[in-house]
Amino acid sequence: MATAVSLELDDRLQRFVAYLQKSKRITSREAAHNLLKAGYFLQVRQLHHQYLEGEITFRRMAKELGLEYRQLYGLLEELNLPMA
Amino acid sequence: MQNHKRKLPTLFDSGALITSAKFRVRGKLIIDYLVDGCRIILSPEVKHETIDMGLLFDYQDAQDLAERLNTGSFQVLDTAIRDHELESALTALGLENADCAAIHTYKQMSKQTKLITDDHKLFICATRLGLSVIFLPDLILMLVNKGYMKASLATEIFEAMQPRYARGFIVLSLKLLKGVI
Repeated sequence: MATAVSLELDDRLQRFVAYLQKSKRITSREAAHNLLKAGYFLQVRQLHHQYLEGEITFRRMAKELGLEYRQLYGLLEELNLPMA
Repeated sequence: MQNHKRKLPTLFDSGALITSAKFRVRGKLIIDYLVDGCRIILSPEVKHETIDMGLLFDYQDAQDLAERLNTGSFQVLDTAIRDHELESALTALGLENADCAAIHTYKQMSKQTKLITDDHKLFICATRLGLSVIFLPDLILMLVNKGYMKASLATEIFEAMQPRYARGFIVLSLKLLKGVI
């Protein structure tokens, strides 16, 4: 289910979004979406690294991402990231 | 194979249970081989995370687990009584509610029980508390060593479950199985 949000970008982010629009020939909406998505997956990988290092439990990782346990298992499968 | 033997009591954590219900070897799910040698016990929290929520999100493994639960392959325990001193120590270590439940539940079970988890932090905490805890691939090895499973089948199971483990994890299991280390 997609949810629309409006957000204000600071000067640096505005410049970056403008650059993405121009260089990738995409709309500002697409650029902002891609940026958010990249940030999300970066967060997933950082938490996964912490999980595999034994710093946090799988359940903590799920909580940090706002997911149920089973959903996180599915996400790691999709991303081909190991459980142990 | 050797059904006369007493089954190994095992308390499964969610990740290990889902992994064992995801992969098929020789047309059967891994969990179906495990029930031959293990008495599989689940906490209510693990049942909720794997079966109840899995069914809600329409995962095939949840349906397979639910079928096996209904036919009596697993036992779901009542909610464990929590030791508040232990609970506060576990929470301070960063364990979540269902992580703590695994430890409280285990402590109310027989000493022969193995806690099966693929979660490194839970593994470390459980080990520090003196629980007998093993990763899922090590349970497979144990079943071979105790004569519940043939090494050839274990090799196929390791190869099937490899995608869910980090590089080297299953390589070690295969070497241990072959007895080369």
